[in-house]
Amino acid sequence: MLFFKRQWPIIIAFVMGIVMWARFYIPTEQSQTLQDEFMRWARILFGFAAMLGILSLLHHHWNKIKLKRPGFGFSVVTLVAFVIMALTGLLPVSWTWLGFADNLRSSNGPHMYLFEHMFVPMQATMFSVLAFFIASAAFRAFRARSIEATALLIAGCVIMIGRVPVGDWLASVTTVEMGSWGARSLINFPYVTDWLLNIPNAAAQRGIILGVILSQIAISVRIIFGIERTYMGGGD
Amino acid sequence: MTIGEIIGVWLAAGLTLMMFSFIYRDNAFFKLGEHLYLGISVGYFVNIQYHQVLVPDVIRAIRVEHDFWVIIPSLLGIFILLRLVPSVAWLSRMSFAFYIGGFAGVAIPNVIHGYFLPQLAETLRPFNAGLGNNLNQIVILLAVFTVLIFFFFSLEHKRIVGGISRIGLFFIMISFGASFGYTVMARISLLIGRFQFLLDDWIRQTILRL
Amino acid sequence: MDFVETILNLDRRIIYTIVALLVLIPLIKPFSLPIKPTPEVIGIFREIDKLEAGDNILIAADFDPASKPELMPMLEAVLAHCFERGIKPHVLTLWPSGPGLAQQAIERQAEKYDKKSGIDYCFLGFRYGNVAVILGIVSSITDTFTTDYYGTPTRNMQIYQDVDAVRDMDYILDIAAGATVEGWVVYAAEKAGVKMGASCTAVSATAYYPLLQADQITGLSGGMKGSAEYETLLSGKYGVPKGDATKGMDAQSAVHVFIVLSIILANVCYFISLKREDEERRRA
Repeated sequence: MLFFKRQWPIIIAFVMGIVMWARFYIPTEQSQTLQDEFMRWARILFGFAAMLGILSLLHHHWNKIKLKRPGFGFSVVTLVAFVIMALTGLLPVSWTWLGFADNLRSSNGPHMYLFEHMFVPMQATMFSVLAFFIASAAFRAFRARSIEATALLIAGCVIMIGRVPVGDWLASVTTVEMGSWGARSLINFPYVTDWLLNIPNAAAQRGIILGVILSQIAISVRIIFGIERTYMGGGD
Repeated sequence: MTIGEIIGVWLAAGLTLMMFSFIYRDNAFFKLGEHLYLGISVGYFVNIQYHQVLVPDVIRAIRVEHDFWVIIPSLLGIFILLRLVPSVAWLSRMSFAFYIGGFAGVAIPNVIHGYFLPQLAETLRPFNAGLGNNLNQIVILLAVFTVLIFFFFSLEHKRIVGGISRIGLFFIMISFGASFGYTVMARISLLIGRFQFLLDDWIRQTILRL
Repeated sequence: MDFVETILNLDRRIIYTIVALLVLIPLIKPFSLPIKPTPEVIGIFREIDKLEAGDNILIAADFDPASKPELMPMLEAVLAHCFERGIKPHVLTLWPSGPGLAQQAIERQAEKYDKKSGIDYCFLGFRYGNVAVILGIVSSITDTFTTDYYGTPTRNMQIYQDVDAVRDMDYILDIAAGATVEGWVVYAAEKAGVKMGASCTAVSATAYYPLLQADQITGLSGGMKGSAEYETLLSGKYGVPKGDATKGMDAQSAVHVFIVLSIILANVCYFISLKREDEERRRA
């Protein structure tokens, strides 16, 4: 039994990894069919994996209510909201008496109504609140304490002005005629922004990307050869 | 605007203000909104799960197309759900091994071919594009090399290596500065989006009826 | 407490109030600064504009309501551009919370231009699996998305009688709030040899410049500003009314100027306070 629990998954990962890797170099119809079938199976598996997250979250809130832990009332809200939202999209009943469209997938249906008027505003607002915190943090913590911090600060400020219309406006109002040089802008944030993004930023990001790719390849090789086993979780 | 739409806009505005109340401090209204959001989003995902995965890929495949092969990945999927049952949780390892192993194999050649090599080729471009572009190319070469050295931890960052990695850090900081500028932009955009909703959809259309 | 100390210990609620006012006032009374499109956004617009009526474009709407103000205007503008030119968009999403917004955008634009699902466009909806979905449609769209979002089988649709894979597309555009752009580049654009553009949130824009430089993407639109630039280009050439992204640009400028000035002011005060501390230490 221990073989099935510990060695069998490593064998599966090895075989799957080698087969899918080798397949890349064999451009035949059969090898393409093999990949297509693997992808189809993977899509179904991903679906179930996502369901695991949903189930464990519901399980957590159900337990909280059952044991009447502090704040269990909020868990009741979560479960009631879940049931209502789920049923409006799953129950094959007519909602026309409430003025909704008959088709559950319609944008005029009850499910999309809740999506538009509850899901969208709550999620959007949750992330928009960060605008206040980032402004406050920039004011309080953004200090030119070293050369590196100064580089970060200057690049950040240049891009904040150079990437919004006020940067273009500044460039246009400070444009002067400079003889044979033609019209030149004296305060040209957009120009500096373009250079910063396309040269030093792109190069630094490429360095990071190349490093990430190399480590991704290393991890993939480790998974295939059974050195990396974190996906197996704990226990026997 | 219909009555339903007006109710919807008021509901959305109320929830928006409820979530905004967090700016003052963590409070019961925000907590209520947070838990409501959790429930609504999980309910939404269950629907997506059913209509976009189970129905087309499993139920329809078996019923309409009589494709019984999908039973195998469905079984492997059920193994994943068994992770919640401690006595048989080990079965989920088979499913994870199947797709993590498979994707490791898919990733290696594709990432090298479609990502690593084009990026490397672009870095090692010949110097034949005029003075300005050649100078930029030198900056790019220098930055890529020094950033890679900065992330190379097998060598101790002292003396020459330390100096090179310091230059790399300088370029990384410029890039992070650019990211910071853009992050500020993103967060402000989201706030603008919510204020646009409150002003246009709520105040102008349902209160002032403009 | 003098000015320097007041600034360094400024109550965060004052900053919050200023930010809120600077967003609110330009929205109520816009000062309409002109928006100048950047070469990055022109790179997307030009490629789509080059397509002919009847050509196909794959649009991945990989975002959710958290990035709606940044990316929804881009999706709407690109769809309007496609319908204006008679190009057929195939819209899908790799984000589970993405279909709702994509549905709203495509239904709104299709109604405006009187376009029919399954003939002039197709909303494929969502499937789990990221790379598994991308590699699936590289091989066959109708096998991967056996039905569209509304449950209609795709195989019999008129739009899929001549096209069935990514290689049959004339352009790919990923409108992404997360790290899906790399996946589309590596597994779709590079494999199928189709040109691609990326529209992303401002947060991730800097990370895609290496792709732009290496011509792995033809253009890059970052955040609400990128969307506003696309709206400006579309309005300039086809007279399509500008959308929410353009309306938000004045507020964006105002808050950015405030944040930059506040950083400068806070740093000046910080160095003055350091100098003072230094002097006090020397005196002691």
